[in-house]
Amino acid sequence: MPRLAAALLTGLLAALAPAGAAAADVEFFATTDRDEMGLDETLTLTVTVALDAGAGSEGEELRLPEAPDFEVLSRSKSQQTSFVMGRGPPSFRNSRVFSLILQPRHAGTCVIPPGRLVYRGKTYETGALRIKVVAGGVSRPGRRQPPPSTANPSQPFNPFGQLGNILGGQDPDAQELLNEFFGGGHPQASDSDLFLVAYLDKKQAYLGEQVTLAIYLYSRVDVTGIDGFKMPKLDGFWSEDTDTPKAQITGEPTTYDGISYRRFLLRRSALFPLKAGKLTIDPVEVEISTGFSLIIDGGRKLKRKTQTTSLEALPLPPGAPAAFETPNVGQWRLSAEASPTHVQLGQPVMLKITLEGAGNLHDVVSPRLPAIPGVTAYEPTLNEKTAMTKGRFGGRRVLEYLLKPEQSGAFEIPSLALHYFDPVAREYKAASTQAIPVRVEAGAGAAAGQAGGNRVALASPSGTNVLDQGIRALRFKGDLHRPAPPLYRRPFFAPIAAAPILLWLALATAGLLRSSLQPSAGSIQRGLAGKARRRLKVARALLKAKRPDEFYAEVSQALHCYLAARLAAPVAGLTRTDLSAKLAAAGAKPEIVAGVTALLDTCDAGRFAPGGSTSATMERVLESAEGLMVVLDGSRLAVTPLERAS
Amino acid sequence: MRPLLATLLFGLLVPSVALGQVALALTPAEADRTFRAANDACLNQDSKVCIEGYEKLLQAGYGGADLEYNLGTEYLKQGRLGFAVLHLERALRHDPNDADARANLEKAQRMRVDKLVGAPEETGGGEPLAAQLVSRTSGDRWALAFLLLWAFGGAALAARRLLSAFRHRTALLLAALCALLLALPCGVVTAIHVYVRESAHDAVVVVASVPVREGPRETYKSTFEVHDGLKVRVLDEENGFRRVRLANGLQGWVPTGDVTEISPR
Repeated sequence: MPRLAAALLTGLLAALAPAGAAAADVEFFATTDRDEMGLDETLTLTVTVALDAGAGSEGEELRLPEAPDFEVLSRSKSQQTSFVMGRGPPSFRNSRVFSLILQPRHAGTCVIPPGRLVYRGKTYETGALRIKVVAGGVSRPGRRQPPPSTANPSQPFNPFGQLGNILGGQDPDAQELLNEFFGGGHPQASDSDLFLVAYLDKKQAYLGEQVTLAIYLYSRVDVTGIDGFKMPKLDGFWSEDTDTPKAQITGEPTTYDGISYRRFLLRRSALFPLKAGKLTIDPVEVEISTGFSLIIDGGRKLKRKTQTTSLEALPLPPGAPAAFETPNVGQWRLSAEASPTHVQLGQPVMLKITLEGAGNLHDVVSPRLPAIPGVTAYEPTLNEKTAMTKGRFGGRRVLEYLLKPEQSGAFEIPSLALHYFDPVAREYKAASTQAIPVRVEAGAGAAAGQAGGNRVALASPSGTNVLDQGIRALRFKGDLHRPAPPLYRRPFFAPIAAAPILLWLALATAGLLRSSLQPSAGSIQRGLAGKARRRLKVARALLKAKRPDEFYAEVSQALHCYLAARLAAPVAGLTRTDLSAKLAAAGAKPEIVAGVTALLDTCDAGRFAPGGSTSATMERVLESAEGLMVVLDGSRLAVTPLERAS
Repeated sequence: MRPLLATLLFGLLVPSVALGQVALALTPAEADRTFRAANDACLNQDSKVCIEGYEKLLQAGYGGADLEYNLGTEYLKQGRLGFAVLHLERALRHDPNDADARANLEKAQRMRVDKLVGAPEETGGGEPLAAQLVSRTSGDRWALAFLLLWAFGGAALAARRLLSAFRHRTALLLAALCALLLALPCGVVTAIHVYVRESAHDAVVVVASVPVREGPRETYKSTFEVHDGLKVRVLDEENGFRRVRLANGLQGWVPTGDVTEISPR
């Protein structure tokens, strides 16, 4: 029977219900079952919200009255659908009734403030309710009439009255079927069933430091889609969306205030504060589709907003280096690479400067390449690639310079430095590159000159870059020094060149001096032999002077001197026997030994008995002495070298 | 006594200070900056400032192959061949292996007005051997090699003589002989350098044109004319004139100021 009624109702509605939406009549009122009560008694507050069934609940925001003078003991909600026929076309109305059991906190006049309903841009309020609370009990509770809602003072005439209830109100199955059929029966998600939360991972951050904003949807109802996502302006921030689910969002089970929900990540953004102070992040507005209908896609579109959040942006601490740029906050690395570093004049050098790390890559200021004398640097090409690494926004920026040397020689690409503030370490740091030396060769030959000017010509196909007119280019770097005179004019040249010769001369002189001051054994011997012969000459002179005693003494000394030289040993004072033995030991022949002994005896006799000597005798003695010396000169005697004179 | 001493000290101090002021006219850092500034002026086509910068360094006592080369090159760009040849020749004196200086010098010589008929380069004879040797080699390096080898050889011989008990006297002798043998050609080259530099005074005509006269006076007849960039040999000097000889043998007198010696005496 209820099913037949539902079918009839369908046909009736199809004929009567317009294609467009009905007038959005709203009823919103609050009532209490009494306006006077005792302190220990309870009160029932009823809040009714009635809307057209086909109008939808988009843009609806309901806030039940909050009664600080009362304690809420319980809440309940009910819903019903009614058929209304009024001045406009007939329609079904959905009514929700919220019932709260309240108990006063104190005696006196307690106020229940108005509830608030925002629906389709219009705001409706219930009236404030005043309840008199006495210390004791009250005999009969008063019943308050519901004040009309502020937007719609009266309900339309409903000749069918509770037709919907009559048809299906007593039959839960029928009611359910009607609800399913008309797509309005599912309970609408309240704020506690579906809400948005904006999370900031920090409450404080330095200027330029990344803060992550995540927007989550918490739901206890079926979410079928996200139809509208409206981010606020984010004044005072630079933002980069880092996580935006595109096609389909998937929820994960979670709890919030102890209640189970499904949580959906709708957006994650990296925010970089641009100014110091308290920065407010306005609510994010999202339109969410919920619910399901068999015939009409009656999924509700609900609008929700996040709460307003704020961030305390701190100014950067003092002590920034002079070259520091404010946007350079994060953790950065800087490197430089030049290729090639040995070129011919006219060939370019590519310089690549890479900046990478974590921070606002779009805002960080790269160090500029300073002017390099003798080198033309063209504007760099920029290549940026952002990346998210462990939740940190950053990436890599590459600047490529084309450098053209204008002169041969050597130059240096200077070191570059990036000063930045590390918010993690809370200190200023510097990332720098190494200086890069580059050598430019002149190249071979001269290209054909070009007409006009003295500008550096472009590189010829051979790679040699010369100035106009075929002239080799200037040198960028020069070895400046005060020219010194030629080496041969330096004061040290002549002395060093003469030194070996002088050294030789000195050594030779020293040798001569030494030999004269310290005669050797051989020289001593030669000296003695010479002396002996000189004595014989003296003896001859004495012979002629007829001085026999002196003659014989001289001959004797000459012979002794000669023997000392030949024997390399002193012989003065030796007896004849010792002298003979010495001569024999040295290997002298016996007749020589006898001759020497006899001659010495003759000299002794002549000295001591000079009267018997004649000139002829002295002549013979002299000849004997000379003859003996000659014989001894030719004899080989084994001798011991004389000791050097001390 | 005291006033005399003070006067003496003052007399010594002032020249010292004056000499110090001349010597400290440009510090090495200032010289480097001046050089770079001159380079920048050249790049900016401001030749006057560029040349002034280089000349300032020369007046301050600085030199070297790079400075002379840059100055010569800038003069060459301006078409002032005389000074271009002068400074490029000086650059080669500092560094005979400077290919850039040689290339620009050849360029300057090709641009020269004077073409010498009968000159050795025309007849294919080229420069005299000694002059070629001097221009292609570094006198300082050969002199240093000679000095070191000669000193080592002499020292080795002396050591051998002194250390009569030394076991390796023979090795010392051999080392000494080798060093002295090697020192010999080094000494010969050094001697050639000395001879050429001391006896041969090359100069360059630095004015656009100058008449060459038969005698050291303006009243003498002019036999021919020479132009800037021409390299000559100075033979004599008298009465404000220099007797010069061209590579082809022509001789004559020119005013002293019109030719500048490549290596000042």
